[in-house]
Amino acid sequence: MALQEFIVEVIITNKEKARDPVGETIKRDLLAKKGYDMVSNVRSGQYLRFNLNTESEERAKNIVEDLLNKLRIYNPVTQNFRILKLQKES
Amino acid sequence: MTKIKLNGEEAHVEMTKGEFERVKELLGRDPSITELGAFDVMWSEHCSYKSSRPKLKLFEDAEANYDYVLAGPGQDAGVIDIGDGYALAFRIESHNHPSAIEPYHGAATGIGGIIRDILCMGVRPIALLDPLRFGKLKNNPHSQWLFKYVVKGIADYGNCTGIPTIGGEVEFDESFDSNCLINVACIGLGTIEDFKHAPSRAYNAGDYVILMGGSTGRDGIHGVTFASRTLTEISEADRPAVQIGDPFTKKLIIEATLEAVKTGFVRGLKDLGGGGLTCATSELTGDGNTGAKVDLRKVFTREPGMTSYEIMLSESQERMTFIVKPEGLDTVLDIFRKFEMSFAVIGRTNDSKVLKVFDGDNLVVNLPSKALSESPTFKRQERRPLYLDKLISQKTPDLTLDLEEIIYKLIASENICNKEWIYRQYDHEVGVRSVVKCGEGDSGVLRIIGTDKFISASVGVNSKHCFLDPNEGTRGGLVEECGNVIANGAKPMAMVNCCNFGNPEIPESFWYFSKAVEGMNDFCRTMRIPIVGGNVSFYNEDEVKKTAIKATPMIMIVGLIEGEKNIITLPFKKAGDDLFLIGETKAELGGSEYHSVIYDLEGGIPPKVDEAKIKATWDIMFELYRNGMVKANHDVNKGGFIITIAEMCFKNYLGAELDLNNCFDENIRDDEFLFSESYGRFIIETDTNDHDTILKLAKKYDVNVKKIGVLISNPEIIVKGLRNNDIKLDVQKLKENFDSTIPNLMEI
Repeated sequence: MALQEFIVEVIITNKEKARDPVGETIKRDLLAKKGYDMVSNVRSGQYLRFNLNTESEERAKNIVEDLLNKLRIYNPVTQNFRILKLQKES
Repeated sequence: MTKIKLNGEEAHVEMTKGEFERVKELLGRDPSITELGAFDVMWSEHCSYKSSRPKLKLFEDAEANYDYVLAGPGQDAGVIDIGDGYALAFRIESHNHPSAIEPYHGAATGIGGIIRDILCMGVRPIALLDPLRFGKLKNNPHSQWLFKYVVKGIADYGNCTGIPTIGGEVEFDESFDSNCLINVACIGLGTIEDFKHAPSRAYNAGDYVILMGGSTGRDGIHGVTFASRTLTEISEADRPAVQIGDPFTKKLIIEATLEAVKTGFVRGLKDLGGGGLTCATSELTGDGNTGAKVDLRKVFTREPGMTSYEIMLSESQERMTFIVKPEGLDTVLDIFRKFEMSFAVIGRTNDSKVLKVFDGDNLVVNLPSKALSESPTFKRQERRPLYLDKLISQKTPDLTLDLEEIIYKLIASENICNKEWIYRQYDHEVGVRSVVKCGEGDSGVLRIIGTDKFISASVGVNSKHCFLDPNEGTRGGLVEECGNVIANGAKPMAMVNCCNFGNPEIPESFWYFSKAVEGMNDFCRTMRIPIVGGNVSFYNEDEVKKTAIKATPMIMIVGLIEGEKNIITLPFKKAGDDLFLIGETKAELGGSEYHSVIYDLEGGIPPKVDEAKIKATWDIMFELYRNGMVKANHDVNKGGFIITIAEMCFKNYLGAELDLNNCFDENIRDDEFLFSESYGRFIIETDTNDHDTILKLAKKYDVNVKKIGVLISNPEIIVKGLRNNDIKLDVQKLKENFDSTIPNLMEI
């Protein structure tokens, strides 16, 4: 099968039960500066985009999941990752 | 885990059935679920010291026996009076289990916790020290992973809070493969006034109870029960017990707390660590002989729907409890607002001696305030392990190898090599107090700004020696850490310890603890060094090999130097100067690096400590200092005195010509003399003019002092007067071997 270029977007966030100091700080600032009391929670995350050449969408997804786990790009004890978007590069 | 019946329902607790019966007897009724959780946490090994307390009674009288001790064992930190109106607080504790599971956040929150312990003595945290233990790095990716992220966690947290990491110690040994040891120590400085303002007690009725800092979440519930079990029993399922630290918030908490203490309105202060709000409220009121009424609905929570059980037991980071005088409430709250710190007035103290916790209108905890802190204790069995006799009888093999090759190999070994890879990641100078930089002295030396006083601190112990003989090994560790501060010119003032051992329910493991504590107590009483605090971490076991870690009673010594001119550093200064070896070298290779690196041997008889001789050695060192005769000093440690000399050559790229004729006993072998780890020895550099005076002093103090050679400008170490051939070592090559080990193993 011919190789095609895929883009895999990943977002890494702290687990729901874990703290998120970045989000907390942003929220505290919003409240401190007034006017945004409607904001009840802010969570932060890290965005990664991989361009890779492989056979299929499925394969691209597997490779990215595999490297995230094996190379500990994220911390499985305190964080989750989610694949946001998977698309063929046009 | 124990299954019990509570109000007709089944519940799982960590406590034993006997302890549960005791709770019911104490209350005269069944506890509520929140009360049960509170007892479960407070009576855990980590909070209650139930196995260790009977033994630790030995240390109790520091405050009474030493007039400069302001706070001794049982407080959040030891505090001493260092003169000029200043108080110095210090403490060391463990964060082993969380770090073994998640090294980065585990180590970082360990630093966070120890900073809070110092802060709640009302003083400013000014320095951190971190003694660590890992499995060997070579061919061991797991150890490398733990090591890399623990160091990064310490660095990131310490550096962000603006507190320098001024020292530490590390050993690599198979017994720590899966259960690494992360001990964290912090030193705080303040005026004696500040310290007196903020006891960790609530002595008065009618004061406000305020929770300040981070919000309370579901993280870390049961973190202490986690510390009170072996890693096998928990790991996977309990992983959410690992915390995430927030050093930037911690920095604000430090500043807000210190400013609040300065107002004089704060009458009690306690950090929230293990056991969370349960521990803080019960200890404040229990130890202060008061009571309190607290409403949990006032607590600011991170997520909605948290139960009273969860709020009481949450161990969320970065929180402090304040006890504040009614007339000062507005002032203190304004300070918190200024630093944009969240806070909540959650209740008031009273003189009922009862802790009442409400969840809105529901009374969920109704206990005598002392009930939680007065846990039952256990008399544990102790038994000397049978394998020790065989280990101790191991002999040093005949010397057939080339001495030069041995030395090049030894200096590159993981336990001896340069640790710059670690400390260059730490900011060791922030705060402008650091005087002796890492690598230039045996201890960290800090200036007390505004005075001509300096404090010196060192931490560590030799786990291999303690494994073979916990009593001698612990006393040796004390000699070594005192030696480190003395080498920089300081007088040892006080010690704190962190006892890392295996499962106390196993008699062999408890024997190690028991002997180590006895050794500590004997040495410190003889040498007049107050033990002002400690921490015990049990259940450090290797889950794979089913064995305990090597006993590690970590020791931290704090010393005092009067006058900048009296600070001594490690590097050799000038060619032509004399070299003296102070203290006696015996054929003591048991548990040495020589045995382990060259012959892969763990055994032999470890070095013994003779307090009278050590005392004489210290006395002569102080007399030499008073005479201004010591230009460089390095305490002899792992690898023996030849390694010590090499380390002293590196900085200024000097060499040494040694003549060991008549320096050692004829029945001691070359390798025994060169690599012995006998305690209580120093290598000093002195001016040739002082030669005769030094030998006269040696007679006066009856100390073994030998001139072993002179410094030369050519960077080589020549050793003559051995029974074998002379040896010649290249300082450049020694330095390359010394420097390259950890960077090569870590590939950076």
